[in-house]
Amino acid sequence: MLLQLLVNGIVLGSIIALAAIGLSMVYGILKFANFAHGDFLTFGAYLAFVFNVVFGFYFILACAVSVILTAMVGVGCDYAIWRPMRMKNANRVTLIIISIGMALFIRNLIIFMWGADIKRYALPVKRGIEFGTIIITQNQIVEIVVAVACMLLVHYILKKTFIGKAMRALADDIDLAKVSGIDVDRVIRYTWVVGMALASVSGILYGLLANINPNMGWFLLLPMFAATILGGIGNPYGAMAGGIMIGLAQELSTAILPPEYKMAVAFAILIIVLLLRPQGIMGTS
Amino acid sequence: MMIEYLITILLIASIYAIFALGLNLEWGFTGLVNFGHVAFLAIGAYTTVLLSLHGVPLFVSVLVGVALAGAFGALLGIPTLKLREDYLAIVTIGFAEIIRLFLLNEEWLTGGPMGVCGYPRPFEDIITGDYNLFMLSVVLSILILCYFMLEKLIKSPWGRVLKSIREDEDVPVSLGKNVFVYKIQSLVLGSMLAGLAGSLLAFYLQYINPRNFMPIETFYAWIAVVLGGSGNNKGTVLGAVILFCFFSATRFTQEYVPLHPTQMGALRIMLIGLLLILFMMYRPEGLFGKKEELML
Amino acid sequence: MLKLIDVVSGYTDVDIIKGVSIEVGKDEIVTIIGPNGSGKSTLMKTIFGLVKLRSGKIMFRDKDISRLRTDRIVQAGMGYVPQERNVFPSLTVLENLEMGAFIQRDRFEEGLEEVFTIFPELKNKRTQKVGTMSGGEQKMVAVGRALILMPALLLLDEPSSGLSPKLRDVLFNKIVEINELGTSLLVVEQNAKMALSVSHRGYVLETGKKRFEGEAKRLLENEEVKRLYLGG
Repeated sequence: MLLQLLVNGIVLGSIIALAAIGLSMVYGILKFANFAHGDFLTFGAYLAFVFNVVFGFYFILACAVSVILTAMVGVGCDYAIWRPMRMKNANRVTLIIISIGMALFIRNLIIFMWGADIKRYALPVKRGIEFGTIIITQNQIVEIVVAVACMLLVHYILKKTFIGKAMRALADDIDLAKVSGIDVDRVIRYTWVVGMALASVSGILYGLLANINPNMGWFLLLPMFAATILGGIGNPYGAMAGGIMIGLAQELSTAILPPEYKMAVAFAILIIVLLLRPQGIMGTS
Repeated sequence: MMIEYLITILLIASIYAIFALGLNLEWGFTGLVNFGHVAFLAIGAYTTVLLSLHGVPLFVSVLVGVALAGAFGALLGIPTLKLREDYLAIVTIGFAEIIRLFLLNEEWLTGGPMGVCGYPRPFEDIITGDYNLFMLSVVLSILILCYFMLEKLIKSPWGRVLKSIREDEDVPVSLGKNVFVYKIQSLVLGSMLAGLAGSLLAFYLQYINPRNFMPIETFYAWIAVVLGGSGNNKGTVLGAVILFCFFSATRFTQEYVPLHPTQMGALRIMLIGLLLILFMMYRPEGLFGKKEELML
Repeated sequence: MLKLIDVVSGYTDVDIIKGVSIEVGKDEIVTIIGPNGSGKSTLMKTIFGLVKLRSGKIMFRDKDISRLRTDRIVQAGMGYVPQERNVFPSLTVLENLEMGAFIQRDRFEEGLEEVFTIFPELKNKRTQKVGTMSGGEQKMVAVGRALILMPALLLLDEPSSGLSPKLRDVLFNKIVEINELGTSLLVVEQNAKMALSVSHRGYVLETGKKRFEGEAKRLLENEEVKRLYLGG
C-alpha cells in the first residue's frame, strides 16, 4: 500500500517538479511570483487536446505543437506585458496582480473556447502492469520517463549552453549581468521559452495522469509554489527536488489524511518553510 | 419588473461593496496583499447560518459570524503578516483554499458540497411587502455605517499609521510603532467586514454552498478596489457598483448574443482579468484614485 | 579616450554630481579620490549609463555616449567592475569570464589568454565555483570578467576594498600590468595614496565637484591634498 503511494507520489511529484522549474526560474530572475503559471500548464494541456482530438494529430505531434505554441505565447506575454513593466521598474505587487489577471483571463479563455467539462486525450486505455503489490500504468511510466528526460534536458541547457549559463548568471545578479554587457531581455525571453515549454509538458502529463479540466493548473499552483520555495527560489535543481518531495508528501499523506486534503499538505509545508527557512533547503541565506 | 431587477443589482452590489471595503482597508490603506479574502466571507456566512439553524437568535449569529471571521483573520495574520508581500499573497490564497476544502469535505458540519439552506432571514415573518426591498434598506444602512466608520478610522491617528506602513514600513518602525500589531488590526477589521458581508450574502442567496466561495470572489473584491483606486473608499464602493452593473448588463445581452451561458460567464471573467491587467499597467490609480497617493 | 564635460547627475531629486569635467587619455591610469559621499561611485555609474545624466556630455573615443544604454557602452569598448556584488557566485571562474564575452563570443578565446596572463592564479581554478573563493580571488575574477573583451577603458570602483594589504599590493601591480597591455584605466579609490602612486594623473572630488587635479605625483606631494585626503 505504502509502496503504491510512493510510486504515485513520484509520478505526481515529477509533474509538479517540471512545472516548478519554470516557475522558479522566472521567480528568481524577474523577482515576482507568477500566479498565471498554473494556467499556462492548463493551456498547454488544452492545446495538445485540441490538436490531438479536434484536429486528429498524432498525440506526440500534438504535444510538440502545444509546447511550441505555449512557449510562443509566453514570449508574447513578455513583449506585451512583462518587458514594458520592467522598463517602468514596476513594483513586485503590481506584477503579481497582473499575473492574477492573466490567470483569470487564460483560464476563462479556455472555458470560453472549449467548455468547462472534463476532457481526455485520444489514447487507448491500457491496463496497468503489476509489480508485486503495486500497479503502475503505462501512462505513469511515460510520465516518469518524460519528466526525467526533461529534467536532464534542463540540466544540459543550464550547464552546457551559453544561454543557459547566462540564465544562471541572471538568477545570481541581474544588475551585474547588465553591467557585463549581457543582453538581459534576450536571456529573459529564453527563460520564458524554457519555463513555458516545461509548463506545457507538465500540463500534458497531468492531463494524462488525471484528466483535462480548466482548473487543473490552478489546483497545482499551491504545490508548485511550495516546491519552488522549498527548493529555493531561482534554483531549478531545487525546484526539481522540491517538486518530488511535495508530490511524495501529498500522496503519502493519504495514508493518514483524507485524500481531499492533499493540498493542505502542500500548504502546511509551504508555511513551515516560509516561517523557518524561507530561502528553502537548497537556497543560501 | 425593472424595479425588482434594480433592487437585486443594488442589493448584491452593496453586499460586495462591504466585502470590498474590507479588502480596501487591508490593501488600499495598509498595503497587505491578501488573496484569501473570500475565506472570511465564507466563515461569516457559514457561522451565521449554522448557528441560526441551531436556534441561536439571528442577531447573535451574525455577531458571532463577524467575530469568528475576525478571529480567523488574526489566526492567519499572526504567523504570516511578517512575511514579504509575495509570500503573503501565496499563503493567503492557500489559506482560502484550505477553508474551502474544509467546507467541502466536513459534511457533518457544513453540509459538504450540498451546502446549507432553509435558514431564517432577519424579520422574515414580519415583512409582508417586498422582502428584497427591505433587505436592500438594511444592507444599504449597514454599508453607509461601515463607510463612515472607515472614513473616520482612516483620518484618525490609527489610520495615519496604516498609511505610513503602506508607504514605507521602515518609517513607522523607526518611529517606534509596532507595525505588526497595526497590520493585524487592519487584517482583523477587514476580515470582520468580509464576515459581515458573508452573513448578508447568505441571507440574500437563501442557500449557500462551497461554490459560492471560490477564489474568484476575492478577485471581484480586488477589481472593485483597483477600479475605484486603491485606498479610496468611495472608489471601492463605486467600483463594486460598476462591477455588478456590468455583470447584470451582460446578463441582459445574453438573449441577443449567440453564446452559451457558460461562455458568457467565462467572457465576463476574461474581461475582469483583462481589466486587472490593463489597470495595473496603465492606470494603477484606478478611475477615482489619485496618482500621488500610489505606493506602487 | 574619455571626456566628461560639465556632467550633472543624481539618483532622485538631488544632484550628486554637480558639474564635473574630467579626462582619461589613451594608455593612462587616472584615479579619482575623495572623501565618502563625494560622489565618486556615482560618477562612475554615470559614465557607464547606470545613473541618468541630467546635463553635460560624455565622449568616449570621439563618440557621444551620454544617452547610450549600458550594453552598448560595453560594446563600444568600456568595461566596469562594481565595488560589491561583482561576480556571479554560482557560476564557475570560466563561466564568469564567459559572461563577460556575451556580446562578442568569438573574441572569448583571445581574451581568455590575456586574462590568464594577468591572473595566472585563475588558470588552475577554471572550474571552481566563484562563490567558494576568497575575496581576493573573487576580485580577480571580477576584473577578469570585465577585461575579457580587451576593452579600451576599464572602470574600477574601489578595487582595493575588502582586500588585505598584501593583496592590495598585488592588485595595484596588476593594474599597472593591465595598463601596460594597452587598456586605459579610470579608478575610484578610497586608498588614495596607493592608487595615486600607480597612476599617471588624478582628480580629487568633494561634494560632487572637482577640487584638485593634476599629475599623480604632484597630487601626492601637494600639502593640502596630503593633509585632507592622504592622512597627513
